Amino acid sequence: VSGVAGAEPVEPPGERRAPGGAAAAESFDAFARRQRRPLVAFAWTLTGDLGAAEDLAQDALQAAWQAWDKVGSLDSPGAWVRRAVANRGAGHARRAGREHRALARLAGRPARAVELEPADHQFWAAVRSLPERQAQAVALFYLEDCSVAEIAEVLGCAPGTVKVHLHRGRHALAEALGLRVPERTGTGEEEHQ
Amino acid sequence: MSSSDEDVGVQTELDRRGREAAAALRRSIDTLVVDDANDAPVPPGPAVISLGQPTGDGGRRGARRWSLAAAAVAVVAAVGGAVALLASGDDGQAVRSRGPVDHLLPGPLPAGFEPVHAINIPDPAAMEFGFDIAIYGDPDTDDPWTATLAIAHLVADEELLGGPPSNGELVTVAGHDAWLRESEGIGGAWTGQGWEVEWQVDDGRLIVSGAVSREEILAAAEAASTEPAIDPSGLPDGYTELARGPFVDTMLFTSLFEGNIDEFGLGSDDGPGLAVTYADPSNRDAVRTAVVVAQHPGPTSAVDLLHLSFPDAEETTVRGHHAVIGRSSEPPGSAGAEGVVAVQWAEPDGQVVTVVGFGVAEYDVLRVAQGLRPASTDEIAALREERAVAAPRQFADLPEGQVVVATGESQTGQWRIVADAGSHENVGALTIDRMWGAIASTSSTTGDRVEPPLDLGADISDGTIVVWGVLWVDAASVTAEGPGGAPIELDTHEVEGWSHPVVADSLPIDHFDQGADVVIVARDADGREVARNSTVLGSGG
Repeated sequence: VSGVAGAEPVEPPGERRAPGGAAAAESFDAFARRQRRPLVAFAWTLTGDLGAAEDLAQDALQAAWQAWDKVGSLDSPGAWVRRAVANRGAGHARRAGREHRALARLAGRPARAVELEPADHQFWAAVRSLPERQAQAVALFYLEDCSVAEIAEVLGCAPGTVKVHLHRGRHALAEALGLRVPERTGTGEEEHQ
Repeated sequence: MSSSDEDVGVQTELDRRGREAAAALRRSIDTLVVDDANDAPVPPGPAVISLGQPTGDGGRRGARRWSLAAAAVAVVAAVGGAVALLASGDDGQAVRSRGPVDHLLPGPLPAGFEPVHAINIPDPAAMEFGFDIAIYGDPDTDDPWTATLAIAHLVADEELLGGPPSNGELVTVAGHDAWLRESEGIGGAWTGQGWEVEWQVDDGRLIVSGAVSREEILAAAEAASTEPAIDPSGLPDGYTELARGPFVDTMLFTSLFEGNIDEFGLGSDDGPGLAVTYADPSNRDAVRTAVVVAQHPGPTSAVDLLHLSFPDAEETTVRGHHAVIGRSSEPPGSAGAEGVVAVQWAEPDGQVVTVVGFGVAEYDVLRVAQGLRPASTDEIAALREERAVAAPRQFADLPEGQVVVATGESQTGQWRIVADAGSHENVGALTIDRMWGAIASTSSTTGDRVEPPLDLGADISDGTIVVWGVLWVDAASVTAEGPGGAPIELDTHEVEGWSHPVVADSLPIDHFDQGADVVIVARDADGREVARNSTVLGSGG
């Protein structure tokens, strides 16, 4: 299973552009410059806040730099930094987002924001409403065109687990976007009362 | 349509939405995230990022500083030492034993800003003065800092502390003589009158001070120890420890002591802390906007001590760490409309970082704080070497209609007396401008007449006293006279269009005996006194 068909090629975490040793030979400078925007985008899908996303991306890159001897020699350094972003968790990201918005508000300036059509904003807001791991899997699936194996590498779980996250996440996403009628839950007795 | 067909249709539509949303997001990110300095790889250095704390100087310092801090400043000034204080961690262990500090440098700075001054914050162990403090309050109240109870342990020789305490009501605390007196409180957050008790201990003083009743302060003092701590049995109901640590007033190293670096030995030794002032060197305004980044070893529990300097300080988060942010516009105009903004937090490696903005928008202060990065040893060494002394500053050009009457130099800066030539030599016609160090400055205009016919003003900063005013009588000379030094004749100056000359000159702050009455005397050509001013440099002036 790979990412959604037709997605534009981006910088996948699996380092398809520089697989294996090629990635290892890459300088951190080049790696950081190539990965920064995709990392910010991924972090934004989880936070909805550009400032927080930039911080998360920068922190992940800094962590990579500090361990570059190890990270740079991995098959997929890109997966490593995405995991660093994901592992910070939605809670941390939300706090960081509030922090940035508060700073902007205190300064009386509008916060920098990602400009999207309402439908696109709705899509990513729906992604963020998913449980944390589902949101991460779905974000990587759509944003980075990741395969199940690549998502599993980023999230540090089994491919089978990713399949479950993706299935449930996409199902819930379709419901949240009104593409599918929500399934009824409960015993059904409510309808008879 | 079958259920399966419906599922395929839903997934297809979902994927289409996802592709479009992803593409749009990538385009937007490409536009917003520019290739700037942040794109550069993180420079060599430890994985630490933190921020630090503040307060003003003589001109910029917030007016509502607490008495203990003021006392500490006085003591330190008397010693000729600095103010960094003993650093006790949460566990009572010396924080400074944790090892060298990992220094941080800013990423993006406000436009035009660059390092203009760097000084060390000395190792408390190398000094003979310590100031540990613990603050207690009721965390369940809306603002626990409005009614705090504090215990401070001043560690210093008795001589340094100015002799045994003696003012107030003599009481007995835990079997020892102690002095009880009313207090205006610890920190500006106090909303009412309070009390304090002071007594000698083996290595210095203990002071318990709080916005509590007389009975409560005495009970707290009975339960006090030199840790310093107050046993819960001596605390008012609901009180618990809010903050603890060495009281290191970072701004003392960046503003108040500007111009006194050599005098206090702050610029000589290699201290564990560092305070760097960033400003626009081309800014010739008397009030130079600046950002100061200061860091020194300290415990996390010390972060909230910023409340003592900023009554309305609030909790916030900086780089994921608990932080406190304070704002002050006092004294009015000292730092422009933006005032003083300070944010402080602790890094995991055991250092407290403070970022202070003078006249800088809060957004920019926090941006600097967020953007700090670890610095290499070489970077810090170069910074210390190149910026140990701030470059001399230049006054801005005067607006039309104003003329410079006199100029002079102080220890690290300069002063000038400006006359508004278009007005009479009366109230408000003369202004003194002073600037020294990286950001320090004062400016004031002659006010109400106090002691005619020799109405004078005086400004004491940067190791220099500047005396100025209008000489309303015919006199051949004007001299400053006092014990401990020879009389100094002060220059007088003519101002075109004015019928009386202007006295404007400076003298070293230590020329006469400290605290002595100094008088300014005007004499005629025969040496007869024709006017005298005994207030402007009098001991009570």
